[in-house]
Amino acid sequence: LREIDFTRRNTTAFVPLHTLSEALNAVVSERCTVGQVTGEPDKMKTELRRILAESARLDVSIDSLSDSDDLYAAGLSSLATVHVMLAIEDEFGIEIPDHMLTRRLFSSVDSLAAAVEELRRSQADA
Amino acid sequence: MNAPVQELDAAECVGQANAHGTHAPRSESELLDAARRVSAVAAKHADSVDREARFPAEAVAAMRAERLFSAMIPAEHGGDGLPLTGVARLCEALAQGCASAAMIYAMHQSQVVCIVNHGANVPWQRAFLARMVDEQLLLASATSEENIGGNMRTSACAVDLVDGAFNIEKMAPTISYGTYSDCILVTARRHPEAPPSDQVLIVAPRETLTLESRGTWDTLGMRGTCSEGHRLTASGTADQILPDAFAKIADESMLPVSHTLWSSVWTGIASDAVNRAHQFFRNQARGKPGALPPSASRLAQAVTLVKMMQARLRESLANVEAASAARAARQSTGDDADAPLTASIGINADLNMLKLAISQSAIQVVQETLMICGMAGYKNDTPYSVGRHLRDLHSAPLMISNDRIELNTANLLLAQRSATGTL
Repeated sequence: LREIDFTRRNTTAFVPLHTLSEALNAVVSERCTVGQVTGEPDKMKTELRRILAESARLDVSIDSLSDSDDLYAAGLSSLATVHVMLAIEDEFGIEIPDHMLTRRLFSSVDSLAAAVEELRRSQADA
Repeated sequence: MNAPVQELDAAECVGQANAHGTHAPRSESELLDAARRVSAVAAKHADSVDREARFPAEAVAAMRAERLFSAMIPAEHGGDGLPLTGVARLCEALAQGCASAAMIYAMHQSQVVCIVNHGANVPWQRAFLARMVDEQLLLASATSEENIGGNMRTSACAVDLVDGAFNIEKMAPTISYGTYSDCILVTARRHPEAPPSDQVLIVAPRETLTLESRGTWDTLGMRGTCSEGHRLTASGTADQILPDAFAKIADESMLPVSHTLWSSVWTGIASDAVNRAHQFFRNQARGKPGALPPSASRLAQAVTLVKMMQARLRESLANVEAASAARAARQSTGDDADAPLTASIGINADLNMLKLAISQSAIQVVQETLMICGMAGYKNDTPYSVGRHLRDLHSAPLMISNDRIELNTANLLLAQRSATGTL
């Protein structure tokens, strides 16, 4: 609801009711989709945060970072990414292919969670 | 008969252009000839440099006169634009004359590459590149710092920018040839609250810094590098700070160039010792026609090893040049967040293993040459002396300790699905 209020406050033009309703549906369906596919997305991020706390050797506590904060800016080194990668592969039973091992993958908790989710799905299908 | 005369005229034109302060880029073979002339000067003074643990002033003056300090600076900035493999050959040639002078040249180039690759978009840095060419400046490095445990990827001192200006103080346990350099590249934390690993690299010309010598440099070998400790203070403006993070500069430029060029120096030292042993061996064989001297198999082993070192070094040089080309291609298309980490991890592991291989093999080779030359090699005043070579090379496993590099390499190898690769 806050998101819809936000839309209204910032809109100078008249917003038809069906636009607001579509927006609401979009928000709800996105939440539901994520919930259905991942089962427990928050649990995965908790696990990722535990792995980062143990292996990433960041300059700051992982608890002080949000899911979207830049891990490289927090001191993630290329040596540490190796350990994070191995721990993730072990924890989630996946193999991260070389083409996915990029700075973008390790850039945040969000990007790691998205990649783990994608790999779990594709490697479960295989 | 006309053609050579015309060529001579062309050569004279180049000479005249030089007199007016502009220089046409030279070919690798021209630069190699220049390096050999410098090497001959360096060789003449190598023993006194070693005995007195003094700066190889004659060799460095010859490098300056031959304009070798700007060999690797791209032609667009006034240098010769010599690729890394060519610079490696210059280092190898210099090392056959004087190991300390060659190591100074190699260390200089590993600083030059940082400004060339990471500063050329900054007007101040571009102007400084032109100054480096004009004045043939010698660049040094202050990466180590007291109380941070020998890891150059962390700093204690920090940049504190006030109105675009900074002052910095660094207690450096070693700055090679710092006293004799024209500019020092200094690592520091990005700002006073930054963590130790969030580093930048500052280009500090001589007139912006003061050095206070602390300690001495009375060592087993590499005595001419004068790598004593210093208290360094510098002040300047924000545009002296290279815009890229030091982690990126180190991975992409400083480390690849320093590891390959140090290895070129060590290979050159080993080659010079083997050439002495080869000469000794041939003289021995001449004295007893029809029979090989008892050290015959050692000579075969030593030359075999040097050939392997050269081949190994050529492989890493090609890898580094290919990685630079790939990076340049990516930079023209966009950002490098999607570049595969396995490639950069792979090249870091390769450079580590190069350093391990060459530093160990070089000592082994010179040990063999000592056995071949016998007492003539052990004595310091014969044409077959190899004691200085052996002492100089004992620095190789210590310059970034091989123990540390082995751990680091094993760590990087964890990321590889296949450790060895294929032919």
